[in-house]
Amino acid sequence: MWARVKILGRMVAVAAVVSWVLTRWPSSEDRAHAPLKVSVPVGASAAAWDQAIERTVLLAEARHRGWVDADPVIGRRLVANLRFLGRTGAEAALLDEAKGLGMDLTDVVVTSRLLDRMERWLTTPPAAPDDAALQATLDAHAAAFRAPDRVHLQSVFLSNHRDDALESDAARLKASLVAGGTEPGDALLDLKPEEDTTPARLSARYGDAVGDAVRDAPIGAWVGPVRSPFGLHLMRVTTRTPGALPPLSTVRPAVEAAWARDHAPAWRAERVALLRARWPVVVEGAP
Amino acid sequence: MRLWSLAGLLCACAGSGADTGVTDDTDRSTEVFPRCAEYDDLRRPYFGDMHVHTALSLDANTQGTRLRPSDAYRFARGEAVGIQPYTSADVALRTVQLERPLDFTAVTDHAEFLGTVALCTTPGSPAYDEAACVQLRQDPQAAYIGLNAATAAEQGRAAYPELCGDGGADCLAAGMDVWGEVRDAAEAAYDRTDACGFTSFVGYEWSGGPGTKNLHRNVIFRTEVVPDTPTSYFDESYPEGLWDRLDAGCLDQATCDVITIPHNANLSSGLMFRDVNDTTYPAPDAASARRRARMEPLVEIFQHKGDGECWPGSSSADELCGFEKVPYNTLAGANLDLRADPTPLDFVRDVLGEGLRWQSKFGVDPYRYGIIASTDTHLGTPGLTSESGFPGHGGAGPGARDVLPAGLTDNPFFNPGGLAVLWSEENSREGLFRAMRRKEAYGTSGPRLVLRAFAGWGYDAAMCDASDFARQGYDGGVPMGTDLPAAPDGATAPTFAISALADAGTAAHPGAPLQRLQVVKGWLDGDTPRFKVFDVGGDPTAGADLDTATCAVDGVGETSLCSVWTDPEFDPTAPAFWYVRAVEVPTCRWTQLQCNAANITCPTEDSSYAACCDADVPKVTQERAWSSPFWFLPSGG
Repeated sequence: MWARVKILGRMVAVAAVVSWVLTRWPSSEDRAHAPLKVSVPVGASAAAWDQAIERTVLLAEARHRGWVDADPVIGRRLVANLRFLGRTGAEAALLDEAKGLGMDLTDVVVTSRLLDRMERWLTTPPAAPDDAALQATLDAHAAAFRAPDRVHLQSVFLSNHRDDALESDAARLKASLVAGGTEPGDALLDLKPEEDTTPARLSARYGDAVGDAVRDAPIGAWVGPVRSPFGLHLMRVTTRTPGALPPLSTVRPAVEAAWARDHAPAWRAERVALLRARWPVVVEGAP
Repeated sequence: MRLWSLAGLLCACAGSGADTGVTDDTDRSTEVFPRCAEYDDLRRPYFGDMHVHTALSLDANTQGTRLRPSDAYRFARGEAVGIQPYTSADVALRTVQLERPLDFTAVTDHAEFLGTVALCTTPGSPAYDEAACVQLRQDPQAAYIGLNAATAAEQGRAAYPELCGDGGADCLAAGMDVWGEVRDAAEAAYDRTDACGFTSFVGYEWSGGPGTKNLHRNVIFRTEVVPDTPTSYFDESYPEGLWDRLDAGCLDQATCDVITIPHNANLSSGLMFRDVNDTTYPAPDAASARRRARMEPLVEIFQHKGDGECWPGSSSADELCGFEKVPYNTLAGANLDLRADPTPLDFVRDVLGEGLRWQSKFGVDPYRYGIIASTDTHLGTPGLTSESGFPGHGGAGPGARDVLPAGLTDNPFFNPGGLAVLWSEENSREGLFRAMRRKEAYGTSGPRLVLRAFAGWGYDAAMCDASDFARQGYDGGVPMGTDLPAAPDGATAPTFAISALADAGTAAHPGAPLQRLQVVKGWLDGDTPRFKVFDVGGDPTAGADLDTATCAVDGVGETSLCSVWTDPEFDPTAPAFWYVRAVEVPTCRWTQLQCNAANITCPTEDSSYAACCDADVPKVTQERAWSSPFWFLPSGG
C-alpha cells in the first residue's frame, strides 16, 4: 500500500515538473530558431534580398506549424512526386521520405500553397472586431455610409407642349403659388404632386438642374421655374431630413469588410516583423 | 394603408388565372416588406444590371479584368474604378465611373470556372502548376479557348477539365471559397438600412453551350439564402438538370427562392427555345412547359452581344428589326468572327409566338416571358451603357489585358449593352424580386427611358393628361407582364394606356428625345403565329436626317409620349400578346463616335479603324425600351 502511494507521489511530481517545463517552454509563436540559409543571386537588389528572406521565413514558419502534414493537397503532391520517381510503399512512409528530402521546401506547388496559406494568416484579423472598433470604422467612413438627405417635395410641372406660352404660364403659376394658390400644372408620368424623395433620385430622373435646385431650396419657399428636358418645374421643399449615419447593426457586414480592408496591411507588417525576429537568417550569395 | 393598397395591386395583377404554373411564393422571403423610407404603392422604376462578370469569370480573367464582385458593386454604386490594362506597377490605365449610380445589380460570374480561375491564379493551389493553368497565366487567350471548349461539349458529355482533379473535386472545393466571396460581396453591398440606396442579388451564370450554341442562364436568388455551391454545365448539362438542382438546393427549402433568366438567345442557333413539335429531349409536355414558366419569368432581350427582339428576315415586317444585330449565330462565331444567320426562335418575338402554340397544344405557355436587358459586361462594370466613352465590354470582343489595342474598343458589331428596369414599391430585394416574378419589368438598350403600360378594356383617352395615370392604370386593368383580365360584358377590344419619358441624361451627356411609341402584336392564326407592328404615338420621321459627321441631335422628337390605344384588329377567338416599344430618335453609334474622334476618312488604311468604312457596320442606332408583354387567352385560356 505504502509502495503504491510512493509511486503515485513520484508520478505526481514528474507530472508537475513536466507541466512546469511545458508552461515555460517557448511556444512556436515566440521561440527563437536556428538561423535559416537564404540564397540570393549575386548583385540582387535590396528588394530582392528582402523578398527572398521573407519567403524563406514564411516557409519555415509554415512548416513549423505542421501545415505540411495537415494539408491533404500537399500530402498528395509529395507522395505523387515520389511515385513519379518510382518509389513504392505506404503514403505515410513516402510523405516522411519526401520531407526528409526537403521536397516540402522546394516543390513549387507545395511551397506556393504554404505561402498562400501564410498570406491568408498574415492578414487574418487577430480577433473579431468589437463594436467600438466597428463604430470607429463606421465613423471614419461616414461619407460612404451616411444616408442621403430626404425631402418632402411639392411639384407643379409645366410641359413643353405649352410651346410659346410655357415661360409666361410658369411665371403666372409661380406667382399664384407664392400667393397661396393651388395650381395643378401638367401631368408627367410618375412625377407626383407630393412625394418623399432625394435630390439624387430627382437628378437621375429629371436632370441635374432639378436635383440641384431641390438640394439647395429653402424650406417652405417655391423655387423655379427649373428647366428639365420635359418642361419647367416649380417646386417647394416642405421638410428636409438630413441623412443620418445608420446604426452599426444595420450595416455591420459592410463595416466589417471596411474594417478588415483598413487594417490588413498593418496586421501583415506586424506579423512579418515578428516572424523575422524569431527566424534569424544567414544570407548566401548564389553563384 | 400600405398593406391594404399592396393587396389591391396584387389582386389586380393576378390576371385571368391562366395556367402558367407560377405561384407568388411571397412567404419564401427572409425580409420584412415593406421596409424602405422610399415606398410607393404605385411603384417606381428602378434601374439595374442583372448580368455582370468580374475577374472570377474565366473569360473576363483572361482578358485582364481584375475587378472582383465587391469592386463591381462599388462601381454600380457610383465609385470610380480602374480597369485594364495595368502598368507593371499595377496602376490601371483607364478609369470609369457611372454618371448615375444603379439601383440594383447582380454579379453573375460563370459557374463553370469559378473554382478553376481560383485554382489557376492562386499560388499554391493543387492545379496552379498544371500545364493548363500555366498557359492561363502566360497565354490567356489560348488557354481560354482550350479551357472554354469544355463548356461547348455536347449535352450529356460535359465534364470538368482535367486540372480540376477527380470528379472536379479540386475545382469544386476552390469554387466553394469563391462562392463565399460572391455571397459576402453581395451582402456587404446590400443597403439594409431604410435608405435602401442599393440592392444586390446573389447570382451566377450557368453557362452551357453545346457546340457553342448559347444556352446560358443567369441564376438569381431572392435573398441571402442560397445553395452551398453553384451548379455548372459540368454538373448539369440541360436546363432541366439545373432546375432539378435548384429545386433540391433551394426551392425545397422553406426560405430559399430563385429564378433563372435566359441569356439573350441570338447566339443559340435555335437551341435556347424549342419548337413545340420538336420531339428531341426533353419531350415537350405540359409538365415541362409549366416548370419552365415557373423557373423563368423573364428573358434578356438585349445586351452587349446584340439585340434579341426580332430578326429582319423573320416572319413580321418591321423596319426597326435591324437594330444592333450581330452577324453570328454561335458564341464561337462571335469570338472568331465566323458569320452566319440565326434562326427565328433565337428571337423573343418569335418565341412569344411559339408560346402561343404551346398554350394551344398543351394548355400551358412555357415562354410567357417578361422582358429585361443587361450589359453582360466582362469588365466588372455594371450599367456602363453609354455610347460615349465606351471602353468595350470584353465579352467576346478584343481584350486589353496587356496593352490598349489601337482603334475601336470592341467588336464593331457589339454595343455598350442595356439595363433592366423593375417597377417596384421600393428598392429592396423583396420588392424587386416580386417585380421580377410578376414581370412588371422592361429592358432598355442603355438609356434610362421610363416606360409604363397598362392593359384593360376601357381606358379613357384623357388618361394621358391625368396626374394619376398609374392609379387609373391599376384600377382599370393590369400592368405589363400580365394576362388581360376577363372582358366585361360589351367590351369589344382591349385598350392599352402607354406612357414613356425620354432619358433626361446628365449635364455632360444629355439624353436623346423619343421618336415614337409602338405596339407589337402577336397572335395565333390557326397553328401559325402572326405578328404586326402598330405605330401608336410620335413621328416615325423625327430625327431621320441625323448628320453622322457631327452626330448632333437637333432637338427633334419628344421628351414624353403617351397614348391610349385600342387594338383595331382584335379577334376574341385568337390567343394573342402585345408588347410596347418606345424608340428614340436616331443617334450616332459608339463606333461612329470613335471614328469621328479619330478623324477617320474613308477609305482608310488604318486597319484598326477598318470598321469605320465597313458598310455592314451601322453608323447610327435607335436606342429603345421594350415592355414585358400582355397576353390574351380566349375564354380565360
